Amino acid sequence: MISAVISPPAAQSPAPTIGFSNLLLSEWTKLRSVRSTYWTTILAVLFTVGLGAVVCVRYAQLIADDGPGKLDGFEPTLTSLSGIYLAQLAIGTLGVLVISSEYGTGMIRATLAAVPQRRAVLGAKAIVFGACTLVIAEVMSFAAFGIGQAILSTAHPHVSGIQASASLSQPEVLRAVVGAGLYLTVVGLLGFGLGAAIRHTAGALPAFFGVLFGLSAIVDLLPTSWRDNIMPYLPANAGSQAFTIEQSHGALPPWAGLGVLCLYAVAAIAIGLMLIDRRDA
Amino acid sequence: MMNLRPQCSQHFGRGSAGTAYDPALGSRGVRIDTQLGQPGAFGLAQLGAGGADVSRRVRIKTAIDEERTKLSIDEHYGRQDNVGGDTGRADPRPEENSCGSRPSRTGRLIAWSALAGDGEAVVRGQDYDFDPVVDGDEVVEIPKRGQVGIGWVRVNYPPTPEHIVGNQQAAGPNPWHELAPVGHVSLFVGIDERKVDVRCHRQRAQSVERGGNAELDPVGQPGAVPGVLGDRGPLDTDVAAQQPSVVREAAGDAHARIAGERANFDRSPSADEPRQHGQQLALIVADLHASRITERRGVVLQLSRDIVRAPRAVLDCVPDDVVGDLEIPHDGESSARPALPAVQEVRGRVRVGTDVLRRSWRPRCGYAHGKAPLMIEVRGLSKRYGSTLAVDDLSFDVLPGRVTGFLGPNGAGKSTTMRMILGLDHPSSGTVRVLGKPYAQHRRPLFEIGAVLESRAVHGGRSAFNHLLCLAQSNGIGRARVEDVLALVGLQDVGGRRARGLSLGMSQRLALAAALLGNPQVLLCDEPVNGLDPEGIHWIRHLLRDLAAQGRTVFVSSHLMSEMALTADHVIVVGRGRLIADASVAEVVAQSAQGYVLVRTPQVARLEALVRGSGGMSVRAPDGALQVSGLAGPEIGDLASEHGIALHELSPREPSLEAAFLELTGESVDFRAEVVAS
Repeated sequence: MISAVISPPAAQSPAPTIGFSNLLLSEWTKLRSVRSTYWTTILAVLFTVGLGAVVCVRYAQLIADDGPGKLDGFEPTLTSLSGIYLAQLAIGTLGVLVISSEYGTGMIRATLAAVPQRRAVLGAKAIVFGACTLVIAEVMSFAAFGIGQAILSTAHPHVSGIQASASLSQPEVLRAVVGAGLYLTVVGLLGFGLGAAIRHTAGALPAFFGVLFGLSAIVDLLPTSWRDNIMPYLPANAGSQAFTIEQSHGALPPWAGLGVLCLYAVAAIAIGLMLIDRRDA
Repeated sequence: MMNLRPQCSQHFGRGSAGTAYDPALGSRGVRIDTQLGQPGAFGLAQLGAGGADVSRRVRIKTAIDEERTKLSIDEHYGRQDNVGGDTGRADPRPEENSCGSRPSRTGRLIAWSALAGDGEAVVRGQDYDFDPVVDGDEVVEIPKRGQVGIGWVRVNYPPTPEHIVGNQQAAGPNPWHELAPVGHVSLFVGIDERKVDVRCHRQRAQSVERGGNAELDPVGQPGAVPGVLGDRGPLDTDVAAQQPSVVREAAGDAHARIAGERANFDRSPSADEPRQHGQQLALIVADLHASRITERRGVVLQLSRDIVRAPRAVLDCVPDDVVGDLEIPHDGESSARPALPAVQEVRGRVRVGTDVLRRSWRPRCGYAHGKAPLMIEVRGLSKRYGSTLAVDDLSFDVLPGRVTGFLGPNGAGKSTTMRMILGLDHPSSGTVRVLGKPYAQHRRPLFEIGAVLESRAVHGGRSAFNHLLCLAQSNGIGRARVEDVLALVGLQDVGGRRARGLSLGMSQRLALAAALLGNPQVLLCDEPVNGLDPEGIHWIRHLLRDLAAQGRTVFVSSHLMSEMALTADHVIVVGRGRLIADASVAEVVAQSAQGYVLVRTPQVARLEALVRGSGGMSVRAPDGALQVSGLAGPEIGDLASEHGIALHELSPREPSLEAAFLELTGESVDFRAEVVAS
């Protein structure tokens, strides 16, 4: 039996090199074959859709009970997407785990022994993870929006002419819903970049939370003039503009904000790409 | 064959020319103790049945230099005198050829060598003690890009005491030069791109008792082939349509061997050297079980898989349906029982065809110094972690066709070196080349090098199948192959189980499966037997040996000496990151550890005194036995009998690799437990 399986391979004529599609396929297999992917995805869906629905139900009650007074500052789109704030934790954690678990288990050595082109491996991993996240995040975002608006539309404010729910045809709404999915994706890639650069789950996860939330706490301690200048450029603040309908004073415009968040993610991934070739696996 | 004659003359001229051997090659040679039942591995020797005294050991030494692979056969008789020495030096053979026991009369050696490159394999009997006659078949020559050679070599040993003690002058000419070996027929098949050469040598049955009266073969004159073929008759056929001259010469050789005319071998290569380019020879030597003449087709040599003693690598290349028939029609007239015409008129068509070669093992690798394949080439490798030098200027080669053990105490730098070979860790200085180039330049490494790094280099949450699948896909390997390797390592039933649910032994098997995905020719294993149960260890040992026997390169690290002694042919020993030894297991053992003779006698004190008086040393074992070193068993026996001491036991104890290892690495162990004084 051995000889049947292990026979001299001279007859084999493999294609000359590893193609990038091989790497993408391999990374896709990796991503889909571990449970952490499914758990974090389920969590993200629960947060985005479930939490959004719960919040919308609550607002619908408030609107129905208390009348139009509650509509001041009420933003139906953002309300239905409010689960994003928790979902980003799940997505970011998945981003970290996708790469740090390879290091943690030693799998990275098997991977890099099979494919010595390390940057290609990391790139393929980022692409596969990013693409999967984008699809899921957009689906979640639209689902949350749709369900949320359906719930909100059951509330009938007493003031005529005012809708408690939003629709995609309204200005900025489609952008916000799409932007929410993009935001989640980029946050996930930020986690991935941090994971690639730091390699240890225990280090990369706190770093991810720190970058996303901790920075604003630190910046809060700065003098007001500094703070006001820096605050809009922090990743969470900048990126969340993508799904904000009306920008508050001093905030970046939506796409610019998302762009700033992208810069953070790109920087983290770039550091990871730079380090992976230098370090011992 | 390009250099057939010169090689023959070297061999048969038993003086200095016959032993021309580069001592510098010693360290790269293979020197393996014969073990019964290990056919086919690179550099293995087998002592066949029929020996009167099977306790002696026969060794084959292989050396690869820039031009040729040499397998030399020597033997010794229990004493360690010869173990460390080079079997062949250009200078005269050692004077002291003391032998403890009578050699057996016949033995059979199998040797094959796998090599690549424009080299040649020369299998020759080389003996500085007794001049065993290795019959003419031992010249296995692979002139061009040859791959595999197998030789059955029958060795006869001189029965005369003069020869046993190596006193050539007193004995006069060695009668064994004239003696034909005992009734042995072998068949050489050489295949190149266009034709197949079949050469059969049939030596006359010759009983040892007849001494020097070699009976000349009645049939066959140089240049003619004996005509009787029906019943293992003398046969010398060289089917080389294009080169009739070769055929004649080959016939002459055969005749000369049969007749014992050494002069015929001492000719220089002819100017019209018939073999030129592009030859790829696979040599299969087999006992010729059946040769018969068919009416119209000349000679049909029937080889069956049973009788072709070839390593699996060769047999596997030969499709079942063509292993057998070598059909050698001749274009002479059909007659009821054709006496073969002069050899030059024999033309051959052989159905085996060149398929054998296309499918044969062909190492793709770099060649150091142009010729010898160096599968792994480590040069001046160092790795520094902070102030610790984990690997310190390490240089060694790992050659194909054998299991190379990588030994060292914990923390000696074995794993670091392995990781650097695989390009996972970056050397502080030095280079590693695998198959001729740095690892990172391999485009599909799984097809070239399989690595078992550590059993737990697996994502615990991924199933065994998916683990293999994702690695396979990265190199473009499909699912079917993944299933194959899972079955190969015996994990087909647990392929769906998550890796963290696998036992340690299963994890090792999984890691091995990953290494075998691309059917690579180089295999690296870091501590593969760790955590395996005895069955698993047995399995992996045989798998590794099997893979090496196929011509692959197997590099295995371990800190378990006893295991390596069973698995490895060659060992590289490191301690504190430095190279301590790079030699065959036998050499390491011989040079580093001393064996002793265990003696039991009722008169311990007397024998002890005698032993000491004779220059030996003795240590009393707790159970009252004496461990004598410095004297060989027979000497102790003689000593005892001279003085009327009864011996209850007299048994030589071989030093173990473990003892050798402790000796070698004694100074380089980082962490040593203090012995508590009792």
